[in-house]
Amino acid sequence: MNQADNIDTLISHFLEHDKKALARLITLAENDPEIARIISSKLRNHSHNSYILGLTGSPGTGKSTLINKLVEFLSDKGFKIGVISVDPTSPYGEGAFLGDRVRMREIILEPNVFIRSVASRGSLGGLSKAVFDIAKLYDAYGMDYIIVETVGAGQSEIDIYNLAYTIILVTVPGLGDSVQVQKAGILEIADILVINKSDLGGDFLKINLNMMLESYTRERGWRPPIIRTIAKEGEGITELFQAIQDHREHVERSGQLNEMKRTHIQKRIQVLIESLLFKQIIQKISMTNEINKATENVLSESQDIYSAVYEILKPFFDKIEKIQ
Amino acid sequence: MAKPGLDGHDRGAKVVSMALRDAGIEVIYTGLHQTPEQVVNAAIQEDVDFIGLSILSGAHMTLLPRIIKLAKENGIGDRFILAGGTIVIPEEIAELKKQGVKEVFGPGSPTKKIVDYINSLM
Repeated sequence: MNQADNIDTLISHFLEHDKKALARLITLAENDPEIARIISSKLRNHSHNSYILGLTGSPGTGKSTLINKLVEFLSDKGFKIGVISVDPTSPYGEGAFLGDRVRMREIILEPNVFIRSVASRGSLGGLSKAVFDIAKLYDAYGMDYIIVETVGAGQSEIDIYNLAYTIILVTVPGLGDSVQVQKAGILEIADILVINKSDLGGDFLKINLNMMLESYTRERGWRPPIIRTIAKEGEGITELFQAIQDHREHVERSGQLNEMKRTHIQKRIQVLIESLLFKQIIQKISMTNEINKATENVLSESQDIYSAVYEILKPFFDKIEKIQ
Repeated sequence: MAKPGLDGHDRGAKVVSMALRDAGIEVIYTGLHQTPEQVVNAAIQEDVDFIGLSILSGAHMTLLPRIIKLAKENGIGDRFILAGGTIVIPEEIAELKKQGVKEVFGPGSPTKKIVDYINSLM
């Protein structure tokens, strides 16, 4: 079959480190779940145990600039690095403005660096499926480090928890400081805290962060270090890399890395099952009329919203009962 | 969407990028002062269908052929190259198209026209 031939050719180029082939495989996997499955199957034995870093933080904290410097640093040491930059899809349509590359001009010409921008494409709960697929492709390609940069709003930070081994939270002085960082769950998932734009201050922020780190116990046996950086000057990058090395050594030695890999796969399987089941059901059932009727009922207050939904779903729940 | 060379006027590039985004297109915005190598590298890694080049510095007759050549040498000569900016002389536009620019959208081009053109090629 033509499609299959093309994929096999692409894969053989990909295995010879042809960047065009990598880029094309990413596009195919992003756009067609069936092809994604075929690619995934053909490459399942090609893992290089790439080490996955997650960088998260509010917009404007300098994540992209920081990544640029970090990748430069890693590249100079001879590592191969794959970057995934997640930018939000417009909530009004399918388009997106992906501008993270603007901050990464120095590294983009390095032969051992590959950067791909990804629109979140409206995935509920953060990282789109594409991010996981790209990470797997990078791993098969032979990247030493994979760096995922996330939007840093909503739940994508939580999702990074299911992908990365070392999570770096980037903050800057003056953005509401400690309260902003204490958003539920964010501080707790960070393995390394970076205070960027340190030329603007940050002493008070550091004290606050330290206090918060004192006040809750962490089961992972790791106290997140706080690294001060000035990304645009390249300051603090050596210290950041050291912190990453330290954390990596910790998770490897303690066995946590293997645990994480296992948990990640389990979670992924769960997520995929849910999403595929959902798609199957929605495809088979057109509920437009029922939904329109329910909307009118709820608007006119002749029905409450939960009753309206239950009424629509009752026939399907009844059928599912019979399956057991 | 890239601005090659020394040109610093990016309002047009941003306006067009936003219009494309609103029309459902994913736009990789690479910003100012791109070298031809940076443009082609980005196009390869992002596996783009179109390369948009905005040039208001007058250097289009030098920059565009260079980018086209580099694109072909690197195996992405099949992507559509669209140019915008102060490219208005009919003879130059004709020459650019002969060299491989797919279409030129001069000053005042309605963004809808650009969107429709892109959709017509997909």
